[in-house]
Amino acid sequence: MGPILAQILTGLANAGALFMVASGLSLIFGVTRIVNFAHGSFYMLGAYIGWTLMQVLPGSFGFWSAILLAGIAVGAIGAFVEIVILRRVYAAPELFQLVATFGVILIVQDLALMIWGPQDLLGPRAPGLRGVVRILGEPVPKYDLALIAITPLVALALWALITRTRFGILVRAATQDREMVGALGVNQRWLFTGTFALGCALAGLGGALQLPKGGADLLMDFTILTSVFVVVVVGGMGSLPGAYLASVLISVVGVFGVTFLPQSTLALTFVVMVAVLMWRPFGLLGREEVAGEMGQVGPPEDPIRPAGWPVRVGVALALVVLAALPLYGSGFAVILATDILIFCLFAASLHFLLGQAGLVSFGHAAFYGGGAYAAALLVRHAGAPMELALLLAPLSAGLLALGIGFVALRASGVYFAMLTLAFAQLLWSLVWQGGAFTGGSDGLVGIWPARWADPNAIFYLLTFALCVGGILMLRHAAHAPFGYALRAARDNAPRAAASGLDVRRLQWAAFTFAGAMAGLAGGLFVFAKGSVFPNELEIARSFDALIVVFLGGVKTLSGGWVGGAVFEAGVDWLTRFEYWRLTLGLVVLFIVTIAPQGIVGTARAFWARVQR
Amino acid sequence: MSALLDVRDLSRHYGALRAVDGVSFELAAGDVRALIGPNGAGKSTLFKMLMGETRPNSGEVYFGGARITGLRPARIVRRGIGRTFQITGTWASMSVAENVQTACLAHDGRTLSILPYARHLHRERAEALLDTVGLADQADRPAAVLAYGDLKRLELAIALAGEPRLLLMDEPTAGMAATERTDLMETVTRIARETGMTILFTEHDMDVVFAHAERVMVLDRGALIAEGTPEEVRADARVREVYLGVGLDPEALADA
Ligand SMILES: Nc1ncnc2c1ncn2[C@@H]1O[C@H](COP(=O)(O)OP(=O)(O)O)[C@@H](O)[C@H]1O
Ligand SMILES: [Mg+2]
Repeated sequence: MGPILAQILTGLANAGALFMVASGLSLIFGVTRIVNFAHGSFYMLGAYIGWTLMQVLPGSFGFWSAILLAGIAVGAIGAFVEIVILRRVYAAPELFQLVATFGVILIVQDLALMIWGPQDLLGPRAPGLRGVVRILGEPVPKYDLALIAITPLVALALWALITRTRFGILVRAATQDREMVGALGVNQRWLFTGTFALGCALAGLGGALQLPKGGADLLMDFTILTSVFVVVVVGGMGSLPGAYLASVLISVVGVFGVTFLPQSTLALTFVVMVAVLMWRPFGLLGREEVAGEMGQVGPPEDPIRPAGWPVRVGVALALVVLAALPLYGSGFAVILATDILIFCLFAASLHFLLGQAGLVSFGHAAFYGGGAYAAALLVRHAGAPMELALLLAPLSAGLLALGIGFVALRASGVYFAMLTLAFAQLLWSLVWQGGAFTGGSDGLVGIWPARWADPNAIFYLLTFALCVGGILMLRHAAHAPFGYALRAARDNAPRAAASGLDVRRLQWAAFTFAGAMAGLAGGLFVFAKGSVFPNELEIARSFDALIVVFLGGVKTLSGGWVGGAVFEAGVDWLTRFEYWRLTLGLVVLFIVTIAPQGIVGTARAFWARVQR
Repeated sequence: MSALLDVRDLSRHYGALRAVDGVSFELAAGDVRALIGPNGAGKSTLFKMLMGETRPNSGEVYFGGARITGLRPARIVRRGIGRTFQITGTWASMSVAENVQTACLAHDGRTLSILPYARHLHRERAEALLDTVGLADQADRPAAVLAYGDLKRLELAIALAGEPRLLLMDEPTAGMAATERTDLMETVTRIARETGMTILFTEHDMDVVFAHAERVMVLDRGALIAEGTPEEVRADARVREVYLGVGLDPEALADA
């Protein structure tokens, strides 16, 4: 009995920070309809700021004031972000908002690195709560008990704020009735700012509160984000009781996981999530209409048509020139061009999913990294030749997409985005914890191409053939019946269904197709680099692809590969600077607020104006 | 002859609101029937249940003798029911002809194919259908730029592309000019006569209803309160009361 109780208590203590971050995310979403992907960053900031304050404020009073002040400071930073950035994108499609919040993630990451340095910070112990108490013979840290008591207090305070104050009434009204928000007029801006600040303050508070347990490090933004998404999906977006219930459930399951299944703690919570999702697609206490529509807002794109002969001849010539690169380019140029081609295929696959199917996946790296690992594992453990590995990489990634798509497509809109991200992170953690089999954080190295393809020039040509072939295939699919059916489902799903299109099956097929193409890119990547590390599965990799699609332009046919080429070349240049994430983040914010049509879209608009 | 569509005691509740409350009726093949009733009577909700877009709380729907309750829309479409929406549904990113071509592709189930150029498929059939609804001259314009009345006609062409045995039309002429309304309804009823297609439509314009429907059903607050020929329905006291109750001009009913 004792050990089980102790574990439940640990779970309850862990639920504290999770609940605060999740409820903040939920609140913000309820009022502004923005899924704040930067919410983990505010949590991280809370931890770092709290840590600094604890260094200067002495004693018990200092400790608790530091936590409170950290929350307030993060709230203020949140208000700043809302006023400067988010206000400009409320009217934009949801995807733009998500990408804008991702720009914030990048900037916060580099700022934290600049200010606090790369090393993990050990959290100070809470004065007066250092030891353990024995409950049924089991040691339970006193600070855990404090957290168990504090969390419901915060929840109660939040509940009182929401039900008893004028601000709370507005928040609830806005959450329940979208029309109401418009009628608020001037108040609306401050309601949005206030809610965003409150949500961020909660995240900051959570980050500071968990300092004695977990300290502060630069990975904690993505770590918490995954758990929070799981919590929100399980509890139901926009429901505070749901957030509390799910935080406790997920935390307790997590603690038991550590004991019984230490290899894959995260996997266990995912099993719980999938089970809940099968049973209630909108979460335990969620409501259907909250899921929202995603993707196509704004004027519809023009009907697409296959390129005419002049363009085709031009493209063919350009491809010939590109294929001949080894004849005139330097060794470095050939290697860089190989990388760019691979990345273009990866980006084009996501662009297909987003542009044609209107599915905003935030975990596309799962298939890129999945294909890469499939190839590497086949070579390492089965002694597969390169040719076979390159064939099986897209197949494995396609199978993976089939499985993930089955679950993720039960949800739609923001839930879908969160689920794809969560699954990618699950895969990442499986590989990370995979020990000798996956190489863990050491990755798999020494995976080289077959001897005939080993010279850089030959491998470049192989990559060229497969990537250009893949990109052309994706592009052609947009002109084929599949592309039309997908766009029909995207433009107007009820109309598509009433014409006999099985919308979900179409989306599933698109998800699998795009996943397989990303897997091909991943397979090529392994042989180009000779190695693969877990960071090919990271959230950051998924976001790279997403940013690229943006950079290129969603509502264009060429946006994927154009953005990919510019991005990969740009990153090659950017990463020579120390704080390149910061720069990238600023570029992202610039695109989202100033040139939302992307490179291809902006160029096209410019061309149209010149012609007139 | 057994009924083509047999609706038995169908209900759909939203919380305490009984949007559709125990509705039963039958349609025989070739019927052209109107479903009228004030706003909020439950007409659109009834259509949604017939198409499988919304699950009924209770009741059954039989089509062609087989139970279709609870099937997904794509399945029900395969059985031969088609529909147009009250809020006109077309695919804005395609040209007018491509809209119809896509509906044809959906009809013959070739939607996972990635080989042929779709714009060359079903082009003739699409043009014929556009000709039928009077949109032939707009075939290559983007659907997004069409006028409202033209969108309604485009959606009709999309629905007809599925060769439905039963066509449900939710306010097919709303927002159209009077002559356009008559044209559109004459087109549909002519097709119905020629092909044996069955039609159930909702409509607010009583002129249209009485000119084109063989029989009329009246829905009020979720329940069917009258059914009969236009003349019978026009003379029905309860129907007059319902329309009086919501402030509609009873003269419109009487004069039509
Ligand atoms: N999804 C829904 N949730 C809640 N109430 C609904 C929903 N759909 C329709 N209703 C309500 O059901 C009633 C019938 O609506 P509807 O079928 O659209 O009527 P009609 O088409 O006859 O104007 C209305 O009161 C409407 O507000
Ligand atoms: Mg209606």
